[in-house]
Amino acid sequence: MKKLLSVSIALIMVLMLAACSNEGDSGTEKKSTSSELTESSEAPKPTESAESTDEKLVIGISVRNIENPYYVQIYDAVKQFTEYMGEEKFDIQFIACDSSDDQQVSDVQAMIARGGKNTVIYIDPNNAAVCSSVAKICEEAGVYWCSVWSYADGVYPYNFNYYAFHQTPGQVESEKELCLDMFSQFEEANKGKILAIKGLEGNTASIDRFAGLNEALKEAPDVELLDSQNGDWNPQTAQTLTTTWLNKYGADEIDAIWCANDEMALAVIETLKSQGLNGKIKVTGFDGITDAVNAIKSDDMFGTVGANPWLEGGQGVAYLYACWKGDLDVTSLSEGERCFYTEPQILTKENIDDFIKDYIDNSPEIDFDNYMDMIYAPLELE
Amino acid sequence: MQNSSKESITIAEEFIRETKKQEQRAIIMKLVPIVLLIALIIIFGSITPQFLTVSNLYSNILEQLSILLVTSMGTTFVILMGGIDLSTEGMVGFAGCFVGLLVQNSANDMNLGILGIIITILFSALIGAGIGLIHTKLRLPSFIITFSAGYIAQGLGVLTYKGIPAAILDEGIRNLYFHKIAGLPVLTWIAFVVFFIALFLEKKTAFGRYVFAIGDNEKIPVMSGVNVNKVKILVFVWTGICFGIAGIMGAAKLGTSQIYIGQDLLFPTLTAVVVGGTSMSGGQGGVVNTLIGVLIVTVLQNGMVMAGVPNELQKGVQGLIIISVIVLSRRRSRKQIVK
Repeated sequence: MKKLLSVSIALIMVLMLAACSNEGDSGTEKKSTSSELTESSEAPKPTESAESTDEKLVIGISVRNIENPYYVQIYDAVKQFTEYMGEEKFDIQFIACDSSDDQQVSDVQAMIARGGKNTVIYIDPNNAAVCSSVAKICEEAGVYWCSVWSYADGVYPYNFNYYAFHQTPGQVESEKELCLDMFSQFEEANKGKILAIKGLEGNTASIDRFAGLNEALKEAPDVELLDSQNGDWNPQTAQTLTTTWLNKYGADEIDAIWCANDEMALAVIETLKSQGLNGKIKVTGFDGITDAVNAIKSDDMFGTVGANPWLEGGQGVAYLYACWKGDLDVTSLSEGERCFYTEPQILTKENIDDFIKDYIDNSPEIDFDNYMDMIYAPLELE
Repeated sequence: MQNSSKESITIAEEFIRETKKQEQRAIIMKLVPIVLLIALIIIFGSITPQFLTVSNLYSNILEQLSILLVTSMGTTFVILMGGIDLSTEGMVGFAGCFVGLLVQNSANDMNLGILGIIITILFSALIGAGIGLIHTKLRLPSFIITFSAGYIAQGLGVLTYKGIPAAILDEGIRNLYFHKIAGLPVLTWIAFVVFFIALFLEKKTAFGRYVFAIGDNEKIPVMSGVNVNKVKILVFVWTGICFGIAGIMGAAKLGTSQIYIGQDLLFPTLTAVVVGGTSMSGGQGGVVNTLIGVLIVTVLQNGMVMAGVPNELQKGVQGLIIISVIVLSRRRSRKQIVK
C-alpha cells in the first residue's frame, strides 16, 4: 500500500512538472542560470509580437511586502486604470516577495507563466541585483516590464527591447531639499546634531536617500551626523536605535532623527512621544503615507518626501499597456523617455493641507491617456 | 583477595572523582552565559561610559528586552520538550494586527478595550492549540507545522488591515508603552510577570516536570502513564499565549496594528533560548537560562550601537559571540552524533 502511494505521488509530481514546463510562454523554458546579462538579439522585436488579443492582460505588480501603504496606493492606482479600460480585460497579480531577491525573481516567472506574452510587469526591485535577472527573463519571454526606485548598474532600459522604462521620484535632490529646509529651522539655524536610520543595506532607495542627506550635510557644515545605522525598514529596529541613541547622546544633544522611510519615522515618533520629546526632536521620513501626513499636520513630524504612487502606478501601467498593445514602440523613444524622474513632493507643515485636500480627502485624478506626463526629468544612469 | 579489594576501592574512587569532574564541568558550562553577560557589560562599559549608566542598563535595556523576553518564554518550553517553534513572527504580527482592530482604532468602530486584549490572547492560545493538535494527532514535525502556521498567521494578519494599518486610539493600550512604573514602561513589567509565570510553570507544576521529561526521553513519561500529547498541546497553547501578549505589546509600542510587529523576532528568540543554555535536543535548560540569553542578546545589540560598531560588522560580531558561548557551554562527546 505504501509503495503504491509513493509511486502515485511520484507520478503526480512528474505530471505536474511536465505540465508546468509546457505551460505558457517559451520564455520559462529558456530560463538561464547565468547571471551575466546580454542584450538579447534573439528576442522578438516589439512591433512584431506586441499584438492585442482577446485574452486578459496579466498585470503583475511585484513589491517587497503588502503591508506598506505606499504599495497599496500603487495597487489602487492600477485598479483605477483597469476600471478605466474595462476591468474584464485584466488580471491583476499583486505579489510580495517578503524582502527576498530569489522570491521576487520566482514571482516574476510565475506571472509570466500565468499570462505568457499577455503579461506586463511593474516591479519595485527588492535589491538592484534583481533587475539583472528580471531583465533577462522578460527579454527572453517578450514581456514588457518596468522598474521603480531601484535599478542595477549596467542594466538600463534603453539597452533592451522589453525593459520599457525605469522611473523614480528624485530621491537625492528631494531629500537634500527637505534636509536643508529642516536644518534651517533648528534652534540655531543650520547648526545642530542629527542621527540617521537608513533602510536595507544595498537597497538603491536607501542609498539614494542617504546620499541626499549627505548632500545636504555638505552644504550645512555646522550640522553634525552623530551616527547612522541600518534600520532594515523595520519600525521596531528604528525604535530600539532611538532609545539607545537617546541614552548615548542625551535628548538635549539631538536636534533631528532622519529616517529613510515613513514607517520607521513614525515608530521613532512613538518612542519620542513616550519620553515627551515629540516635536522637540525633528523627524523626517520618505514616502508620504497617510499616517506621516497626519504626523506632519500634528507637528510630530517635520516632513517627508511624497512619492506619487497614484501617478507612478497608474500612468506607469498605462505606459506598459501601450507597449503591449503595440501603440508605443519603446525602441524609438529617447533615453530620457525610458529613464526618468517622476515629480517628488516635499511635504512639510507649509503645504500639508493642500496635499491632504488633493490626495487624501479626494481620490487623485490620474490621466491615463497622457501617461508620458509623468516624466518630470530625464534620469542619467551612466 | 587483598589485591582485588584494593582495585574495587580504586575503581570506586575513580568513579567518584569522574562524577565530581562532570559536576564541576556542568557547573562551569552553566556559568558560561552569565560570565559572558558580565564580560559584555564590562567591555561595552569600558568602550562607552554611557553604557554603564542607570538609564541605559535599567530603563533602556529592560525596556528593549520586553517583547523578546515574552516570546522567549513561550519558545523555551517548546525547545525544552525537544521541539521547535518557527511561528514567532507570524503569530506575534497577527496578534498585533488583531488587537488593533478590536480596541478603539482608526479603521472601524470597535472599542472592546480590555475585552479586545483578552480575545486576542485567547485567539492566539487557540491557534497554539491548533498547532499542538496537528503536531500530535497528525504526527507532523513541529518544525514544519509551526513554519506553516507562521505564514498562515502572517497572511491572516495582513488581511485584517489590507495594507492600511489602523492607528490604535485606545489610551489603555497606548499607556502600556507611555505610562511608566518605577521608570519602566508597563509593558516591561508585563514581561516580568510572564517570566515569573513561566518560572512557576517550570519549577512548581507537574506540567513543567513533564516538559523536561518529554524532552529528555519521551518514552519514559509515556510508559509512566503521562498523557504526553496533552502536555505537548498545552506547551503550544502557552506559546500562543506568549506570542499573543508579545503582539499586543508590539502594537502598543508602534501605535498601529501591522504585521511588522513580529518582524525579525524569530532569530533573536531562538538565539536567546539557545545562548542561555537550553539544549535544542530538549530536556535541559529552563526559563532562567533563557532570561540570561535574552539579556545577552539585548546587551549585545545595545552595546554595539553604543560603541559605534560599524553596521557591516555588527551581524558578524553577533554571530561570533553566539557561536563562542554555545561552544563553551555545550558538552560534546566524541560518541555523540551531531546532525
